[in-house]
Amino acid sequence: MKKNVLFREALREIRHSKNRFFSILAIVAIGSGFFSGVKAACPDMKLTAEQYFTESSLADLHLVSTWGFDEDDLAQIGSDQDIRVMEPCYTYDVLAESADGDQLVIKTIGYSEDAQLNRPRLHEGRLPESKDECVIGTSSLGETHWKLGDVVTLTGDGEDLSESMDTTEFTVVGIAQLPQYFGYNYGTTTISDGVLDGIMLVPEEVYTLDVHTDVYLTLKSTEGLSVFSDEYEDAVEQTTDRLEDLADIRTETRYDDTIDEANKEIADAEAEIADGEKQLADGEAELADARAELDDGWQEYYDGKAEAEKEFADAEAELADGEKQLADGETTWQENYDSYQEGITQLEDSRKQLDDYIAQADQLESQLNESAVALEQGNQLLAGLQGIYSGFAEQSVPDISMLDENTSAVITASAALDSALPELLTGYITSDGAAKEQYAAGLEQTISAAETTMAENQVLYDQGQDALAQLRQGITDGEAEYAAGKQKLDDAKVQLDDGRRELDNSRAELEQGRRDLETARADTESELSDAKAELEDGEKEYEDGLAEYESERKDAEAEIADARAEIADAQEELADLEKPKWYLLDHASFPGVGTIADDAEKVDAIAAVFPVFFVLVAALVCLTTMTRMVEEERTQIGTLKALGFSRGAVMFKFILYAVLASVIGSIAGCLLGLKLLPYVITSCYKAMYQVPYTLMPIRWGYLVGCMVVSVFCTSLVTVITCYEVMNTVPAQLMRPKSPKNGKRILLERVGFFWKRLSFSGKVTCRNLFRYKSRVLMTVIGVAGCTALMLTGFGLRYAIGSISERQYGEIFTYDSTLSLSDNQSAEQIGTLTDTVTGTDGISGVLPLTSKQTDAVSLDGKNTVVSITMYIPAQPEQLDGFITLRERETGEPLSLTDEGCVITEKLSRLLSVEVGDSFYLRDSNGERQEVKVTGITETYVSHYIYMTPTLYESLYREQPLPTALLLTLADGADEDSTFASLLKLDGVQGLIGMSYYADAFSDLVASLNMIVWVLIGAAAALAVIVMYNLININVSERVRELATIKVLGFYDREVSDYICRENTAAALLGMLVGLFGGIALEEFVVNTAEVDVVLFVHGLPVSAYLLSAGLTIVFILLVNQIVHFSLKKIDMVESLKSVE
Amino acid sequence: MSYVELKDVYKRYRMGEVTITASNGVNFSIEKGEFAVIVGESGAGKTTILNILGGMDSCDEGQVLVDGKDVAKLTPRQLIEYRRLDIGFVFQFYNLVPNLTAKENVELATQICPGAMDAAEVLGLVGLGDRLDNFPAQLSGGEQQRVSIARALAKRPKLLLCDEPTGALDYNTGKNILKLLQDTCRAQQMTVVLITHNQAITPMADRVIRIKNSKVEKIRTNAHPIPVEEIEW
Repeated sequence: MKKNVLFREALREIRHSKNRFFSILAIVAIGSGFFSGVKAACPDMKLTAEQYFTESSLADLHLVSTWGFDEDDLAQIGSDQDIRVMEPCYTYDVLAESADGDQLVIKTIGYSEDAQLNRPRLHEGRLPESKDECVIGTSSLGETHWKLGDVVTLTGDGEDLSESMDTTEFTVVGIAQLPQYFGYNYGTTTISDGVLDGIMLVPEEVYTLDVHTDVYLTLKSTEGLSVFSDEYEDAVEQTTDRLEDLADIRTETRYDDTIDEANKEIADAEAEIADGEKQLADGEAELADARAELDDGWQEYYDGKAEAEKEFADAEAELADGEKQLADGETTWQENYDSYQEGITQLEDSRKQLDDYIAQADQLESQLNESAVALEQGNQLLAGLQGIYSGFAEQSVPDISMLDENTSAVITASAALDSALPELLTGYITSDGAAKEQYAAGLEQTISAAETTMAENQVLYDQGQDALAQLRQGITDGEAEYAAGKQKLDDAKVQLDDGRRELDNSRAELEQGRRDLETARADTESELSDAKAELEDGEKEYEDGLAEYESERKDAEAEIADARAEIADAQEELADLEKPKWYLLDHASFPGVGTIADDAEKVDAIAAVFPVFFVLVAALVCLTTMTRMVEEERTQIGTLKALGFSRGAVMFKFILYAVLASVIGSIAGCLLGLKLLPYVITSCYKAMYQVPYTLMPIRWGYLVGCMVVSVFCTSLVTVITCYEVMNTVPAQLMRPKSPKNGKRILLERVGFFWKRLSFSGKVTCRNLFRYKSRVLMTVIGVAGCTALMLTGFGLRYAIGSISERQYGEIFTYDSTLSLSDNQSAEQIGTLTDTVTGTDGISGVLPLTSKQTDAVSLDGKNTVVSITMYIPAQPEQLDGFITLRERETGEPLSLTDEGCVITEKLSRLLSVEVGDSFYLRDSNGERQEVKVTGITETYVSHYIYMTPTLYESLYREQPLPTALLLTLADGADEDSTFASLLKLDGVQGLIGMSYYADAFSDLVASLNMIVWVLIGAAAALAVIVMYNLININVSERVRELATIKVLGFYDREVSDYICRENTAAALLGMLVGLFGGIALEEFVVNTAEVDVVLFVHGLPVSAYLLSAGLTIVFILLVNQIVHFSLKKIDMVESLKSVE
Repeated sequence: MSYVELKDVYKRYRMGEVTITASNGVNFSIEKGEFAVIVGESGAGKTTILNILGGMDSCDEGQVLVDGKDVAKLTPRQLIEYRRLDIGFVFQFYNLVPNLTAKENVELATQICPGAMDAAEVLGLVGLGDRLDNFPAQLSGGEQQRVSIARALAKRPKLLLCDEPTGALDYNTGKNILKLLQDTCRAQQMTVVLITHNQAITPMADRVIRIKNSKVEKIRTNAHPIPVEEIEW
């Protein structure tokens, strides 16, 4: 019954001291939650992975052969005793352009609906149903390059894809993850730049390959085993050993078969070539005969033609002569004819003249007759006149009318002689005297004149008579002459007519001759042209034959050359023919599958440190709290003891108190921790692993373990604290425990310091030294808080700044332009020049990049796959890649002596400057190289060497495979890149930002872990500080009441207490900042993966942030305390001494 | 008007369903420079009155006038100021801060009060000039109470309130302390209010206020207070 009372009392106690109870509960919860949560993260991750692998039937072994697997190979593999499921499949590495236009290297994997192994887990869409559908595989980075509905066109890398696949255009119908690609990358390939950018599931039917390329196996012996267990590894190893033996046999057999077959084929080809050559020779001979025949024919033709032409020419000449003669005859005849015509004209003229003369003579005769009449009449008139003159010389007649008729007629007729005569006569007749004389004179004169005239006329007449006679004589002569001329002309006419006839005859003859000639010519020509046509036909036939022969010969020769080249190739190939090789790949080679266990265990390693720390703090908090509680209950304990309760009964209350807090705290904490932390940690790893879901079973073992440990710890602490009290006699217990005496502290001896301290500073200092254990506790708690945050920020910095360091400081180039394969050095040189001249490009460095393995020289034979970088101009490397020692920042330069390797590689191989290691190529050939420098690099392993060194190692010139580019300031990246991508010989272009982005996801997930750490740190700091201050306050409540009574303001009262806490916390913060460096170093080293070198060292910001947040937490606690101090009742506190 | 005046002061505590009236209409006044003794049985309500007077507690009704200021109407902040500047407290159990030396304990008060006396000087006044750097644990009860008084006086308070200052001390030491208080009152014209259950010391007071059942039963003034040395009990 008494227990019941005590039990009730204990519960009441809990109710009354909720704060204290809760602080124990919370610290236990945080401790056990953190511990179990982090601890469960590793098994949860493994469990999840295992579940996923089982669910998707992940193969145990993946076989790849360089020659593929033929039916015999498959049959042999399938007959192994341990094979549970064997699934041959096709894979083919191809190029494709992403939706964004990047050139990608993609592994296509044959998908069959019936496939049992490596079942895809769909994220979106569905699986392929027809031949032109595909599903895009994802990596943990989640980049798929395409989305549903996109059409992907595949191309070969410098080869015709149609030989391997009959469909190259696919519609994306789904996005899925494949269990064998569990990590963030897809592994390597032999095409293009050697790195796979993605995977793609395509229907199996599209492949037209002769042999299967891959085989996936699950084993009977692994059934039911955890993939992370040693048994599993052993089982796989055993089968692998057997399969390796099989591989040796099979590869040998196929190698020999192939060589035999090839040799036989070469022989066949050679025989064929001989046949072909003989046929060609025959054809040639036939053609030569035909040619000779044709040439004879032509000769004949040309001879005949020449002869005929000569004959025709002669005849032509003869004809021409005839024609010339004819023409001459014509001319002569014409001349004669002309003179004949002229003669006629002359004759006619003479006739006309004669006729004129006759007419003239007739006219002259008539005129002379008239003149004779006139002369007669004149002479009569004149005689009349003279008769008048003499008759009327002495007589006058007054009137003329009285004159006789003769006289009057003479008077009238006289007018014909002279017009004045009639008047004169009239006057002369009628007048007398003087007037008569006058008239007489006139008359006389006129008659004399008329007489003279008459005489003259007589002369003229006579003369006329003479002329007429002459004229008549002339006419007679002319007539005779005319008759003679006429006779002559008539003769000429006869002659002309004869000539004419002669001419016409010879013309007709000529014309006949010409016609004959033409006929002959036409006949000959037709004959000749017939012959020619015949010849030409022959010629054409020959030409055709020749052409046919030529083309056939060309073909045949090409064929022969091809065949020869083929034979040469085949022979060379046969000479170089590598034996087929089987690769037996276990989980270690599946991206992500092999490493998740290791990474999960890394979490475990971290888990080992943190929770220990939390448990320690939790125990310490319990200790102080319980101590205080026991002290407070001193009197009651004394009373109970005095009342005769047993020790156990007295302690029961305290133990119940502690156990309840621990049990509730650990259960709550574990449940929360187990459900929250594995999720958060797995989320962080989602950037590296494709964890499809997170299994977080409640691990009752952990819960119970945590509970037991915390119950044990708190109980132990309680028993220890009670122990002293239990051994004290009740009487003493019932008296108040005298408060700890004040004393001088060491600091006070340091006079100058102490004097300078303000009063409150002194008080604080002294109090700090008074409660050493609490100060220590605060220091530990706050130091833990700060260190955790520093670790969190440090971790984020370590990974977050990789990108910035690697791609901002080390790799200072802006992008890599990868070159197409199989280009000559000249082509690359030209391309380099073109790129150098492109707008926006400020620097170009050709570089040879080669994937190979580095092997350490020590006994461990560590193998690390690395990238060799051989810059064409080592002295220019500095503008593109910074080689420098990390710690000293000293720049390194490449020499022909040895290579510069990256820091992480040097650690993995455990080599230092001056040491050597092997480079092992894919053929297994080893080259020893010396390390001349170790350079700062954070991502991947690189070996830098000069072309000279490379040449001396590999006996070949390094051919650039890529160009490193730097962009000019302000150049437009997109347009520059677009123009570069259009150049021939450019395979792809990757900007630095691509790599930088790949890290951003990782960093984002890290932020979460930082938040977890900050949250845990905050909880730790707040609970520890709050708890301690609470204890402090309750212990010093009288002191506080006193100063309140003294008139301290509320703020001053809380300062009085909080100053101590703040000082201790700040001290803790300093400790934490220093301790955090070590913690961070440990965590970073543990978390570091092989391929990455984390950035070591903490940035100032990490210190500032951790310190700042710690201060925020301190202030927060101070504020909480401030409010609780306000509630202290002075009157109650001072009322009485307990 | 008196220097200190309480008018119809009521103070009730609620303890669950029960209401306890600690002050039930208390009326009294004290003149400046007087040595007043409030006397009564345990639980009569003396300390409540002192707490109200000292600004440590508030009353539910009534006026508490100190130097013309109604303490009952002060805000919490003003109450702190009132305690800080106007009141000196001397407790039965000294309430010294154990981690501070005698001088530092006095400084605790002087550093927050402008115009306070020098700590060493005050300690000299109470006769501890040679114990300045001793911790409370190194001092006897009487000496501790002297430190406590020095701490109260150093602020030059308007009122010095003493709650059974001799309660934890032996006869002679108690007598010495009372003498110190009486001397201080006389020498510095300090108004002192002292609570005691000891009837015997009432003759030393200028004014005796008897409390019974939460009420003032009787107020008596001594025209001629007797020096402490002459009182025996």
